[in-house]
Amino acid sequence: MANDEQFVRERMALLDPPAEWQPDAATALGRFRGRAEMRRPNWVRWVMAAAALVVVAICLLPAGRGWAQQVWQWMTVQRVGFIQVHAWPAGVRSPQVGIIGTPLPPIPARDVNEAQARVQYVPRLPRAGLLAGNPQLYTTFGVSAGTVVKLADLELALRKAGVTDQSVPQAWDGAQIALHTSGVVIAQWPEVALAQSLPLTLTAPAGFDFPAYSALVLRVLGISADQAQRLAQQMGTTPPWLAPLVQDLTARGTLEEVTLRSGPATVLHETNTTTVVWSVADRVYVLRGTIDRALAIAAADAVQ
Amino acid sequence: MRYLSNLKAGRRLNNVEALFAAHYAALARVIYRVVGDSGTAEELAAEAFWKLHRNPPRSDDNLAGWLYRTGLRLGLDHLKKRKRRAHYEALARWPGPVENPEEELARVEECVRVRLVLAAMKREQAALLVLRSEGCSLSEMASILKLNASSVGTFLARADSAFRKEYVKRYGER
Repeated sequence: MANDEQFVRERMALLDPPAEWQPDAATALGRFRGRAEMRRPNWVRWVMAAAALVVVAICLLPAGRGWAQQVWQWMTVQRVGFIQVHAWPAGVRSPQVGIIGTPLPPIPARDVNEAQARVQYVPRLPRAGLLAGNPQLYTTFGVSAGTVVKLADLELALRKAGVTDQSVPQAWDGAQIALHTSGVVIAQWPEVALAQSLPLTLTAPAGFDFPAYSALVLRVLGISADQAQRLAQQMGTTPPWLAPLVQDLTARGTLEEVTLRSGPATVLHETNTTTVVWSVADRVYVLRGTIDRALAIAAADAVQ
Repeated sequence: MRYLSNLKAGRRLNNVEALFAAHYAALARVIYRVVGDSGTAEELAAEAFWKLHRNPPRSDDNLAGWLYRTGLRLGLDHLKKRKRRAHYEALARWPGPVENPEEELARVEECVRVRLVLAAMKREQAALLVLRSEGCSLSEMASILKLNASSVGTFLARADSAFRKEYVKRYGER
């Protein structure tokens, strides 16, 4: 009855919040973070780190193999000398690449079917029996990592690197560039975990010129103008701003390129841990665990 | 309402910070309508986010809807628990000097009555009335409460009727 609606509307209108009240989202978020930090169990940290590693993975082996090789060569410059690349200029802030937001914790899945229903793709695992025990599956929502272009830092880096024929477009200042995973599936065995995502996507403000930005960052890293231009075009949207992050990764261990049946892969050796990162046309994988190199490579090779 | 236009975007948001930025303030306002106290409303809104963090839904489809449902449930549960005290609490929080104390007293008492009626109603019906008073469209209410969009109008009419019936039973036609 229309009468009822009018009757209710008049009374419900009395419950309007005071106009001057503004809920304090910043304070609430600060408390939330504190609470989350206190309550986060170790395994969540570990699995979240695995999920985050998927983001890191793309800077080593993005989806397109043609230019993945180029990226690999560029990123291994400091180690094997394919291209002579200098470090980011001292005293200048390098692009700060970080995980965006606080990823929600992984959710256990009963089986592959449940994981598939959540992430909308078919999770692939090493053939049964290769790794001891049955894996516990988890899924996470997408994970994003990115950086914000800081014009002043970039200009200073160019000057410190001795690049005088380049300037940074004003429009780039504050541009946020980010990589995004799809939902991630994590399969965890006692000693090893395999994280996988669909190919990552790269986002930036409309019209942002990635090749130009890539070329500029390469110039900061000591690449000549011609070579930087060529590499930037070859890389397409490859984000060289991930270089500092990769340097962190390589500082922790040694990198090796191997060939799996599905294509090239990167193996990172650390003291007690082996990580294998690789991609195929429709997946990015990170396998990481306290296992030796041979088993890690065999497990990666057995993902089907 | 800003959060209404963010509902679809909420389906793509994938981290707590982004959800906080997009929905915390609006959620706290919705809960305020139920509990009538800004501090409690903020506490319960934060609790809804905490529940999302600790025990997220299996699908990230419509996380915003999940948050509003959870926030409304927390608010209504809170209201049911404290309904016996509600009248006295409302009066105790009556602000300082006002121009017309009698009118203000009547307004506060009427707010208490409306909330007590909401507390006595079925949770879904109460939630519908709260969301409508916040300016939600029928399709937005359907999305938040996981109802069939074509049936929301009928549910609302029933909720209106139930509210009035309960109100009149308690306080008579006013």
